[in-house]
Amino acid sequence: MADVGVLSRQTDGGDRHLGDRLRLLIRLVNVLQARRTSEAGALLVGFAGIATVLACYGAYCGARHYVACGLAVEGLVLGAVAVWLLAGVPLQIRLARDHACMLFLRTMPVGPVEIAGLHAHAGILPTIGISIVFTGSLLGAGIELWSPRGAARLLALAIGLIWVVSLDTCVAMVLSRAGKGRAVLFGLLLAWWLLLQVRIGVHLTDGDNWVSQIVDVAATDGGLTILGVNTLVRALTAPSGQVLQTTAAAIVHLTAAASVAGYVAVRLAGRPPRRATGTAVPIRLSRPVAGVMRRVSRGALGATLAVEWLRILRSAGKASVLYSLIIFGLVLADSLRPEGGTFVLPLLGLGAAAIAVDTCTSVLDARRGNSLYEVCAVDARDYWLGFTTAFGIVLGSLCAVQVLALGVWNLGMLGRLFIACTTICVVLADVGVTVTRHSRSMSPLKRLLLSVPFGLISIFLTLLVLSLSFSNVAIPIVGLCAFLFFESRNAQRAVIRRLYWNLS
Amino acid sequence: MEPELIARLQKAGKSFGEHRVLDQIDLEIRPGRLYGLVGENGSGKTTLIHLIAGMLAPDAGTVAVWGKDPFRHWQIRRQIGILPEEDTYFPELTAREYLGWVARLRQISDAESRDQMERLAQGFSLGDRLDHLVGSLSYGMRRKVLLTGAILGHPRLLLLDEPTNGLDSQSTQFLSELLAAHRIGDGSAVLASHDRRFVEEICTNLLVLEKGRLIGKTDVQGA
Repeated sequence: MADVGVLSRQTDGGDRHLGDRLRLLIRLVNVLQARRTSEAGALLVGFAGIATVLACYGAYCGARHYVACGLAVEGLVLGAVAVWLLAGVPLQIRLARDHACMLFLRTMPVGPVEIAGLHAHAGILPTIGISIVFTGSLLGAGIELWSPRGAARLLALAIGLIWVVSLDTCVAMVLSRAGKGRAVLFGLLLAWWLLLQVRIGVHLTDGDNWVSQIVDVAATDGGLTILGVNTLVRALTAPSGQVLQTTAAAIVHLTAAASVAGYVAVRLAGRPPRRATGTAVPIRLSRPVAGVMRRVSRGALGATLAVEWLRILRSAGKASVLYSLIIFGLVLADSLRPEGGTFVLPLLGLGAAAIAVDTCTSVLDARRGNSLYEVCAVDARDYWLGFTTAFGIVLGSLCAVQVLALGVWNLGMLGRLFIACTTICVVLADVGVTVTRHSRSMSPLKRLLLSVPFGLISIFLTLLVLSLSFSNVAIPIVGLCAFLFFESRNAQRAVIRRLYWNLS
Repeated sequence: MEPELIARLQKAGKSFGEHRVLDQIDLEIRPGRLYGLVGENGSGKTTLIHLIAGMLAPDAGTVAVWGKDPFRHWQIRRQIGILPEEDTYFPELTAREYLGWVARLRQISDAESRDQMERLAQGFSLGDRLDHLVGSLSYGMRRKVLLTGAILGHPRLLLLDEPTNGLDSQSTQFLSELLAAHRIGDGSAVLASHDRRFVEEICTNLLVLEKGRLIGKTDVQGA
């Protein structure tokens, strides 16, 4: 019989306070994060202080320049609030997708308030960073902050921070936990977003001050008003005589919105996070295209390419769809603007690049598929090439489809766009993943030093490919990128085998 | 509910989308009993365990643990030890750190948790692996760590999903002894397993699930 001493029953102490439990969970997550993000995240965190100061100064200068151009201050504040609102969501979603962590918490005596609090904590760092940059841009725009009236605005900003975190948590909870509600919310958001774009398009008339026209449309938008965005913008841009009234209204409105969002978040936090239903996403063309890929490129590489194509379409599809919606909205708004359309390609390309770098590492970290390849003895190089190429093709196709949706039927342009986006994705994904994996064994200082040229190279490559691929020199650029890609592949071989493949 | 009853499910049901996973489950879990839950793959064993643990809410009927809805009253999980079928370990932590976090979240005192951890680790032959990263351990060792975490603090109700998966015979024997001691101490456990021999040997009651319905309740040892 087992030693019964083992089974001495635990004493029933009183329940810990909510704050204590939350602090405990935050400590656990911080420990995990510190060990997980020993590479790219450590770079960002190490860099965050300096980067925030630089960004704050950049925002200050940018806002001064913006105001000097005679553009509406409300437009600047509106844009800044939008960035503020979006900053914390990705990290919260990432936490919600941490299946092991969420399952662990569900087996423990942890309540919905703590889970919602943990999510809020996950997204708070970038939100605070953006708050600082936001304040810099307000100062640059000449908005009075360091006076008794300014203090009221600062108070509104402080309440705004809580409001942003509550809304972000609510969004993360809805996206990760709500079933039908999620579909309804997604549909509503999509409808609202498209309606806003159409309204902007309809209201825009010839003239230079298109920012003011967009601001006018946004000021009367129901969605932005209900959320509290318009109230906050009004409080921050009100003339001196109306600061106190508008700020008081904003504080009340933001508090109410934050309370509602917080309540919804806590209600949803009690539910288990949604997982794949087990039903394959019905993408009708995925199988035939995968078949063609496999025939074109025979052997293990072809099979890997085909499998990765399906994996990407069926797993990372949500991120790609979200990316498409955001970029599509921006591109649509830009193309509706008089003399617009100039930002289409950079937006598409930069969006594709951003999602490529961000998603590739996390998708590759899901080792289930990788273990399958290990069992099937697929060469690591084939796997790598298949994965990044399939990923590039998916995003390149998305970019091309968006241009088609805008009514551009120039096949030459589409072809070049497709090649450019695919190449950017492939190159950046490869370089990004290599750097991330390789830096794992480096000291923090070396990682920091490595991140700077990597970031600069990424931006340079993206802009270079985009700018040159549309001036009839696409082929040399594609050649250059292919060269870089194969070089990075060669560099990766040892790294993959040593650091990644053996770990799978 | 009678004072001695630990859990009661009345007409409990659960669906995932169109798929009805559990239907019309009536079950009472009493102290001093070990319930073996058997059934084919997909019969609903894991979902039933999740319902009792309050990890899922039923969409029909009621589930009450110590008279309370476990989904809403999550605090009662302090008295429930759960071993999920899926891995809930953090590969970045050592086994000792992982168990330490489990103890803290379950409000087990440091001294008590240290003592129990050492004894359980010794019983499961984990002793020399406690300071290894969980991610570097073999599947069987990881299951032992999770099992230790579920038993830590001696919760009154144990919900163990496939507890013998990956365990060697010595550890299975130790688990049997632990469960027997747990039963003597008026604790209760529900063990979902495909290992029917183990279940029949150790359990007092056998529950048979088929396509989401509880088709058999047998008092194995007449206890």
